[in-house]
Amino acid sequence: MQNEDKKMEVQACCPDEVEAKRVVTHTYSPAVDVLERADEVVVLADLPGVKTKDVDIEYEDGRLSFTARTDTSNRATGKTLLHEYEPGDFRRSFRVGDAIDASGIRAEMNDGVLTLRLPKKATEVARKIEVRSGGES
Amino acid sequence: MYRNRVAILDPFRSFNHEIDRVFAEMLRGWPRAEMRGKAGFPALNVLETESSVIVEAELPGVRSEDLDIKVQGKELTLEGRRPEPSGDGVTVRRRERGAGEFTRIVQLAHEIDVDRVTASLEDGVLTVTLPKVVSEIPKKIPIGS
Repeated sequence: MQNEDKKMEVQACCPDEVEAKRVVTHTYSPAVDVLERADEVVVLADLPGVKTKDVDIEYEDGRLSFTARTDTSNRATGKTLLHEYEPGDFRRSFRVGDAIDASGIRAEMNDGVLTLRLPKKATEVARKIEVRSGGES
Repeated sequence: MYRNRVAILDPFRSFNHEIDRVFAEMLRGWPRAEMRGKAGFPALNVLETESSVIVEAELPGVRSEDLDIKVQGKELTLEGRRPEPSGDGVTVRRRERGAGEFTRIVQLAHEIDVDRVTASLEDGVLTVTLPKVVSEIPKKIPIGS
């Protein structure tokens, strides 16, 4: 929540004309929750001001990363009375274990929160079930 | 000579005091905000235009039905909750996102036209537009010929 604390870097200015119009100067590492279920791992990331189309997710060599561009078009203008946060873009990456079926990773955006669903490989799920039933008997 | 100088400076000095007073009024009440013991959630940006005061807050994951916005006199209250990530058979591996209830109170320096306050919550960003009452909007007086 405290984006100021997570300020990672100041982006260099881009020559691209579209980029130049954007007033975003910060890229933050967003706060995430990681949840695990029997058959999947779920990552929730706070990306306020980000629209679905502006999220890029990549998976390569066991590393899952995403970048998100904040939409500044609706931002109000006026005389600043209080400035507690600076809107910005987001970037973060995770090392994902071999247990994840990378081809099945799904993502969705809701109310400024990115949900990444990482299904476990069928063999992993099966193995876990096996261990559990073995432990109970 | 010296007296004159003081007389000239005085209006400026009281002008500065006026600004301090406006800010003191605005800031009063803010330390009451809390979320899981963390002060200041959500972070706010407050802007002023000639006709209104605009309050922006980042509230990812807060649904509009879980958010209460109240305006009384010069006081804006934002109250809401963010759900805990939980469920059956869920193990929490990492927890960085705050959850729970929050309240923030903004003491405004201007009288607000309560009936015309509007709010939108889009992609986790809240924008509350608080129009000033007409008597608070500076009126340009033309100099008669």
